[in-house]
Amino acid sequence: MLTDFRHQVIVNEFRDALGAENVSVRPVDLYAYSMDYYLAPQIWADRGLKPCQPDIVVHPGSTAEVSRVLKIASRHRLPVIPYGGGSGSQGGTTPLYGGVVVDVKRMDRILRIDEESLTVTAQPGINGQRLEWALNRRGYTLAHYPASVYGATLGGYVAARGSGTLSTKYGKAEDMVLSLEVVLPSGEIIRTLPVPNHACGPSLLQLFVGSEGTLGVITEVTIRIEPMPEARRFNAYLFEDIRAGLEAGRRIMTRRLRPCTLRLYDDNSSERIVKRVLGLDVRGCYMVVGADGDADSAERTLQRMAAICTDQGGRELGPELGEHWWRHRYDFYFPPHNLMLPEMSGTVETTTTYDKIYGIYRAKKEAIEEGFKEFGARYIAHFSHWFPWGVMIYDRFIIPKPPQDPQEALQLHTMIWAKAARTSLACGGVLNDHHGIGFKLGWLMPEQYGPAFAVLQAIKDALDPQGIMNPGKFGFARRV
Amino acid sequence: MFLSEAERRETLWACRFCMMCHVADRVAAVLRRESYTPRGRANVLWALEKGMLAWDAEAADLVYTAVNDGLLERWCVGNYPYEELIVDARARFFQKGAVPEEIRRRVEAIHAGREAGPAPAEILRAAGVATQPGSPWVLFAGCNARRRSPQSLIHLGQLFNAAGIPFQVLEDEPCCGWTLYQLGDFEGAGAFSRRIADRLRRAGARDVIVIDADCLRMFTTRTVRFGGEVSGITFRHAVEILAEWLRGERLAVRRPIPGPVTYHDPCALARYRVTIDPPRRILQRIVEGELREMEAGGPASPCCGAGGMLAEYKPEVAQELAAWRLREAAETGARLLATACTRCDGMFRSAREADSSLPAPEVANLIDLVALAVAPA
Repeated sequence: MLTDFRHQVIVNEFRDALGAENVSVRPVDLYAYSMDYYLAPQIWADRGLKPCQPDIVVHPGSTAEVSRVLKIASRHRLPVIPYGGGSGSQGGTTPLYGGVVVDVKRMDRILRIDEESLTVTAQPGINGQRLEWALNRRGYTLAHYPASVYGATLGGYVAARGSGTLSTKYGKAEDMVLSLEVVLPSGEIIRTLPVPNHACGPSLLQLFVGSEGTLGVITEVTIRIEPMPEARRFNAYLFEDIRAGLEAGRRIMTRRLRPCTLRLYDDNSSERIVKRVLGLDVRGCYMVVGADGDADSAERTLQRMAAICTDQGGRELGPELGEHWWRHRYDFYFPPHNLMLPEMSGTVETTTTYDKIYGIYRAKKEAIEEGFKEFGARYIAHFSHWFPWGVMIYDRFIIPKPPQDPQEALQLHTMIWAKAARTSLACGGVLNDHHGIGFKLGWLMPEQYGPAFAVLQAIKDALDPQGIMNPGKFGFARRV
Repeated sequence: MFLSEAERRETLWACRFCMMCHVADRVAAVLRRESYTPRGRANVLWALEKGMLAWDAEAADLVYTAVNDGLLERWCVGNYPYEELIVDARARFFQKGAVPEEIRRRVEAIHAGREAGPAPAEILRAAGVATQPGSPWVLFAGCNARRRSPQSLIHLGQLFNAAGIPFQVLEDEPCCGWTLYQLGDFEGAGAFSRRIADRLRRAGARDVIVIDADCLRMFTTRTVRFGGEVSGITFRHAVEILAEWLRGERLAVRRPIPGPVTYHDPCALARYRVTIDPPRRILQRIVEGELREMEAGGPASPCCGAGGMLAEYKPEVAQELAAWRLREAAETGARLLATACTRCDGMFRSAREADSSLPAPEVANLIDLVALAVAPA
């Protein structure tokens, strides 16, 4: 924390750089920026304890202003925490060591829609759904529909390698982005190459994609857009056994069909999510499949998927139960359906190749349900983002009645996460597929990467020698 | 308090852990700050309860910088009464004497009668509109219309005359208490509710026709809960009765209004009363040309900026919301933006005064448009 005098001096510099109205030290603002969608600070606050707070919040309106902010922060070795929609669940914006939160939501303009190349260039603070609406009005779509779309920002999509309900066809954020403008910790403004595919050395673009504010602040994003599809259709199936559903999904993907949606819920998840939220009375493993594009090709894809699913023992539930899922796909994340306190929950998802996915599912289910039996732990999972080589498992733990004592609650939270993450790593998975790393999983990064982590640390040190950017995240050594 | 303690706690819980309505919240979109999102406010309210923050004017600022338009409750899958949570929080700040100075002065002015504007009887007398004391029909203007849109009151009076319906106004029309309720002065709102209910009963009111949509919401959903006895009295908005009169040929259109026209649904009518069709039926009768709907209309219509007393507390924010809506109206290509609430008219006009570069269309109240359309050629 800053001393009063130094704090005042730095605040005055920010006011000079951005205008007083764009700098806040009001206690209510500092408190509001102490939390995003990450559970641990919420546990803390829920028990009446103040979470980690920033010292200052700033609201730059341009790349030049972000540059000024970083120059001041760099000069004072002040921690910098970039903040978009506050939709992250990994503690990516938790101001562990105080410092300045840089909220980019004032930078929310669409700068250019290139209708020849089908790209949009926009500032990072634009809300995901507002961007989508603006594109829809012109006949386009970003085709990126994460559960957080109503709160998240474009910058957050890219900074955390997000994915959405159509990612199986259209890719994750890292597949969609063409180029970035980034302000480095020194305040210098750089641009990555104008296109993502080239033979000009390693990808500077992909260095910043997924960097979660640890290497700089993303200030402009150029990303692919799609024409609105002529048709988007769905169907639903019920499998008695999760393995049969997984095999159906694998066959769909390895036969190189291109579903826009392919989502398989295990029996627990079908009960907890599909039945309770959607009101679909299903027993077994519910799968929704979707195809889009021109009407004929969407229909053909659906028919080919139907053949595969029924061949694997899936019972067709009919298009209405698929369409119903699509219409209500965000309902799961609204209260009272979202998994929130007083239950303790976490999405411990991972991704792996097809040969390992069932093993991971079994191992994690056992690790959580058996390992934390005394807390009544439940494990639910669905498989929602499919690749040509494998699939991500969106699995979650639920502790119905976590300890009231904040230290005990936080300890349990950390223990479950560690157990789940290490099980993923031991079975050939990774720490995370599309929620990011943040603070929550940062401490496990050296374990995941092994000796290769030194490469990441060296890159961090080269770009941010003082370690001001989002300290405490990614497992990077703390410098400030 | 209006929410039960269980409802309040559940709503606070829901909003603390959710950001799914952020895209629907235009105040948050204009201010672009976490503190002014529904989640930000809920987190701060929680911190206040837990003693982590102080009940002061800075904290109160967050809850007074809101339009309370009901749109977020509608957007929410769980339909949590976020608006009531905010009004409840305002009441708590008010009780603790921790409201911003502007709010305190405003409440004082209302209690002192400085916000009421000229008496409706005086306005109508000066305009030569005939009233009939003792009539069961009461025209209720409301403070806002008396001060800011007396022409709408006059026009409605003339339309009553033209329709051959004798009516009265309350000689010293008391405030309905809506503003006090919104500002968190529940004690004052209760006293005002009981007073207006008493005056209406003593006047022999049976059908009360209200100009201001917020006053109507007060009468139909709040007055009784604040202790005002209004059983046997029917409250309707002016557009509801005008739509009937136009359909039933009590009023004949002589000079159609040139279109195309678009219509902004006031929150209090479209969301709380679900008065969606009558204003459109009126426009279909009186406008020569197309009625062009805005992208977000009916119950999904966003606030013009005047909701929640934001126009008085943070006029610059309210004007941005109004400008946003004006741009949406302009996108329809309409030459005229019709509204059914004098607060909305005033809000749009104020935004245009603040920024003359805002696009057409011209703003008009439906009452005024009907008066124009039925006036002798």
